[in-house]
Amino acid sequence: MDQILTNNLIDIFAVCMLLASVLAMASVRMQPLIRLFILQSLFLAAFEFTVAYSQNEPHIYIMAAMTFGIKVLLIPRMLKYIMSRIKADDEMSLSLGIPGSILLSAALIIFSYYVSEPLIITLDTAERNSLVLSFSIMLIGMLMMATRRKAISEVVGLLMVENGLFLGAIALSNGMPFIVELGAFFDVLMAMIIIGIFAFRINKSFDSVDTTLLRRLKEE
Amino acid sequence: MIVTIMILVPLLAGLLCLLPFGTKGLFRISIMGAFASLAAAIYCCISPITGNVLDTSIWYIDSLSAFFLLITAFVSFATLLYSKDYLKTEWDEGRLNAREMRWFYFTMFVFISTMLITFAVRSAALTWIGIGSTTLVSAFLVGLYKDKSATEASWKYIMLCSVGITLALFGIAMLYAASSGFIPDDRALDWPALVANAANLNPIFMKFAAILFIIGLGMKAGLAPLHNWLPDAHSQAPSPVSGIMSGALLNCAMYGIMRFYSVSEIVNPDFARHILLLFGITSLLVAAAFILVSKDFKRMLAYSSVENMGLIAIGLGIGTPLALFGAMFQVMAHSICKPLVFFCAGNITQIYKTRIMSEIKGVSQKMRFSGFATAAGGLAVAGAPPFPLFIGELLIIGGAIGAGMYYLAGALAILLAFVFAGLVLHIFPMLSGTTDKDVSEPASRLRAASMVLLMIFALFFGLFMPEMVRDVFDSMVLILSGGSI
Repeated sequence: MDQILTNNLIDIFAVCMLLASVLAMASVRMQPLIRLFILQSLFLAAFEFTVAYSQNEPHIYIMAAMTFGIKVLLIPRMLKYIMSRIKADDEMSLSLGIPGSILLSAALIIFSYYVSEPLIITLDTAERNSLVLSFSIMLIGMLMMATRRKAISEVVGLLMVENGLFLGAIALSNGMPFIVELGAFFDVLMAMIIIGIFAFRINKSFDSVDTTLLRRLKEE
Repeated sequence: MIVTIMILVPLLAGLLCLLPFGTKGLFRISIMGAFASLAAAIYCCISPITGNVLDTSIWYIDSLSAFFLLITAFVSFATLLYSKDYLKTEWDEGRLNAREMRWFYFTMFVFISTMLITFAVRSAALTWIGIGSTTLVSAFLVGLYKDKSATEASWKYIMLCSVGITLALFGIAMLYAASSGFIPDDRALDWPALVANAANLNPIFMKFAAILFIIGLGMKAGLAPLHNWLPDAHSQAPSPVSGIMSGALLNCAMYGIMRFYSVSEIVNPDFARHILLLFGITSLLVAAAFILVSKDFKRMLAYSSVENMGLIAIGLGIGTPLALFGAMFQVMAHSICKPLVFFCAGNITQIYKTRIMSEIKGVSQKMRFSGFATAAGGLAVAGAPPFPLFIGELLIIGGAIGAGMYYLAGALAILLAFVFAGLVLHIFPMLSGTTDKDVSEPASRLRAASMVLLMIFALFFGLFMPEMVRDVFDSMVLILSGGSI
């Protein structure tokens, strides 16, 4: 493959990741949400693979493989297992409607272009567009955590923030030292296991995983 | 080697706690583990704290790390002593079963070990991994009681701190990008290498790194307005856990911020300082307001932690040697005094079976020791002399005046007066009066011993400043201002 093709592929995969985020903000059901997360992780793995190929960096190949193994295969399975074991209905409850969510997402994308301007002009790598996209994906992920009320959708929001982080880290400097990446994956995996345990507990003590029920602790 | 032993001792004690020894054996292991961990930490830190930097391929302990390590080891020791009879009472009254107690000690020891790792490593990335694992492990301690409110608190805790940790990792990626090309790859994130090469770091990347890193770790350190998880987690956790979270866990994130701060201030003077000032003032405002209106004893103490973290951030934000000295002193003072009041709160709430302050009356009359300790501890956290928090606050205000920030000094004095009034007005009515509840002092020497130990340390550092301790603080101030690593 020549340089132009790989550069285009890198841009396309990164844009598709953002698209998956925006679509996730527009979905009202849990199953499509998880499918969109799988899709986004798949694009991330493809992005990493292309970068690894074009830069000839062996440790990014390993990252691509780990993204595929953990985020495309393992974590969605865990999420589905949790959903089948707890009494979660497929419907998500939104505290912000679909049009509002999409508009806010658009605003966040513009905002991330605005803030990353000084950063972009110092970079001359092929992945510099991806950096802006990674900011957008992280911000939209946080918006999802703030406006979706089911425990599982909060978790998917967090995972999307992490996808954005990995995209950004690779765009910046072809990833981080290998030990950091290993640590990060380990952290994600452990967090998922522990979050799973607590999702079961929420379900057991509240008979639901609607996190609006988690509003008892506050100042009266 | 000795560092590895220091980390492994609590880990080993934790694994021993999982073995089926019966509760008596479990408690015995926990006490022995407490002594062994403290001894290992002191043995390891005694040379670094006097200025001989311990420097190996993964470990790096200078006086700043050694200071935090010693504080953590000391707070953990006091917490483990206090936990024994606290848990025994919970067990006798049927709120915990033997399995949960085993799990408590296992996670507690692993938690201590992860905190020690955070301070002892030489790479920013490993510090990050350490901070990340403290969250994951301590979530179980927060959610030890499996009721609704504990579940809610631990869920919030783990979700918010995970976001914070992710942002901090992005900050580390920025840091790596800023250093690439100047520092060889395998050393690129080492704290000493970063300070030594700070002049070459890319300033724009460092600005982004500062924003991401301080917001991310600030969330974990409980700086307002990112503190939402903190009052819930501290109030719902068992009291010994609240004590160690306030006295040791919040320091982990603060330590990360401090290390980063010392690099960032060389590259972009004043940038990290201003962010920290902003967070610090907000924290103080929020904490003062919520302390004044609080009804729940432990929530109020949690807001006092937000206040103290805010003060430390302000000390860093002022950035003069005097203010940095004050910030470090505040770290130590807070770590000694806050566990003490949380233990008092543990005694009171366990016996009265409520955390609502208006329902607690006559503590001094029925529980003389706890009443005395609460009076001392209450004055100490409120910042009254002769306790060390008073000196820390004075130093930070003095630093603000010395730097010409008169408005800041005035605002600090007013807000601290509000905090003082709030804490004293809420704590002392609980001590006075009479109660018709059938309550009495928990008969436990170990509980009392751990509190007396903390009180002695509080008084000592409030009254004396030996030459040796002063040298340690001076060398930490030097490290924070980016000098001589």
